[in-house]
Amino acid sequence: MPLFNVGDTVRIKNSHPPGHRRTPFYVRGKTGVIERYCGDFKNPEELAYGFDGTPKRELYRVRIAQTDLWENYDGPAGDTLDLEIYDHWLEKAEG
Amino acid sequence: MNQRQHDMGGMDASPVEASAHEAEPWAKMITSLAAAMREYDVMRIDELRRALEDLPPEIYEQDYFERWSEAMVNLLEEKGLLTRDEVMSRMDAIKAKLGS
Amino acid sequence: MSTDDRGTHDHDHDHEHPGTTPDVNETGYYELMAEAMKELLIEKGVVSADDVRRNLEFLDSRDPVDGGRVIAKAWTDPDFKKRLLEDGTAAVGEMGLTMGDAELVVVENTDDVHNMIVCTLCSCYPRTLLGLPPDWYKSKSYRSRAVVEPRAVLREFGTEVPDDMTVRVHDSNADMRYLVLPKQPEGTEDWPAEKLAEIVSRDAMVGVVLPEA
Repeated sequence: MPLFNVGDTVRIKNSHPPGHRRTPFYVRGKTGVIERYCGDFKNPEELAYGFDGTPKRELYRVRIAQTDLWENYDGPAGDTLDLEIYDHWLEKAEG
Repeated sequence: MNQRQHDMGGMDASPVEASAHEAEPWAKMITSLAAAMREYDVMRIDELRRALEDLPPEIYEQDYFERWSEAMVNLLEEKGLLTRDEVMSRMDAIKAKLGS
Repeated sequence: MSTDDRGTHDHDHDHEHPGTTPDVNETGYYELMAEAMKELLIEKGVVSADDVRRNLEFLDSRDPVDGGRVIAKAWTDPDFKKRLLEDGTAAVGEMGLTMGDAELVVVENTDDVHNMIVCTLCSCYPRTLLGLPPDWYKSKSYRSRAVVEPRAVLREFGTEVPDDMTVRVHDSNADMRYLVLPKQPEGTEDWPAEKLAEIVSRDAMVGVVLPEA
C-alpha cells in the first residue's frame, strides 16, 4: 500500500547524511505535491555499498513549483520541477 | 553541509555548448564492460555512481568516460577483482607491444 | 587512491595539473586503461569476451531512430499514445524495445506545457531508446542550469517558450527514464509514421528543441 497518494502535499527532508544519496541537494527541505507513485525499488543508497537494497522503497514523483525552489526564479509562477524521491526522504506536510 | 561535486542542480555554470562528438571506441568499450559486469551483478550502476561521486575533484572534472574509467578502477580494486597496479602494468605492456 | 599514486607511474602525460584539458596523449592513456581493464577482467573470468562483444553490439545498435519510431507511432495511433503515457515501459515493449533495469515515463508537450529532461546527479538518459547521451547532456552547464533557469537554457538551444506556457523540468534522478512526446508539427497530419519518425530529433525527445516539418 503506497504511503502517499497523488495530490498529497509532502516535504522532502532537510537532511544531509553522508554517502550516496539520490535526493538532490537543491530540493532538500522543499515542499511539493505527489505527482505519481512509481512503484517499489531496491534502495540505491544501500545498493551503492554492496548491500542487497532491501527493504524496497516506495518511489514517488514529486512536483515542486520553481518559485518555491529558487528565490529569484526567472519565469512564470506555473513552471515546475518534477523529480523522484524515495519514501524515506518524504514526510507529510500541510496542504 | 555543502553541495557535493556531482550534485549539480542550481550551481553556477557557463552557457550550454551543443557540440556533436561521437563516443570513441574505447569509451564504448568500457561502457560495454560495465554493462557486462552489471549482468552478473559484480558491479552495480549504483556502486559505480558512488565511486564517481567520491573521485577527487580534479578527476571528476575530466571527460565523462575518463572519470568512468577512474571510478571503475577504484571500484574493482575495492572489490578485490583487480588492482590499480595491475592495470598500470598492463597498460605499459600493451603500449610496449604496440611499439609506441 | 589519490591522484599522487598515479604520478608514480611512468606515462607520457601529466596529471600534476588538476583541471587542465586532457591532450591527445591523455586520450591515449585512457584508451590503454580501457584495454587493460578488459584484458584483466576477461583473464580473471569476471566477464567473457563474448559478454563484452554482445554488450558492445547492443550499444552500437542503439540510436535515436528507435525513439523517433515511438514518437511517430504515438502521433499516428491514439490508442498507442494513451498506453505510452500510462505505462511507457510496456508500450515501448510492444515495439520490441526494452528499458533495461529502468522504467519509462513519457511526458507530453501540449499547447500549454513544454517538458524538458535533465539528470542533475549523473547523466541518466533513456539509452535504450536514444543511444548514448550527447556531450552537452553530461556537461556541468546543462546539469546545473536546466533546473534553475530552464528557459534561459532552452533559448541557448534556440527554443523560446512563451510565458503563457508552463515549462516542466524533469530531473531524472532515480529509477525512471524520460522521453518527451513533442507536439506533432502542423501540416504533417497526413504523413505516414515512417516519414514522421525522420523529423523527430534526439534533442526534441529530450525537450530542448521542437520538431520541424
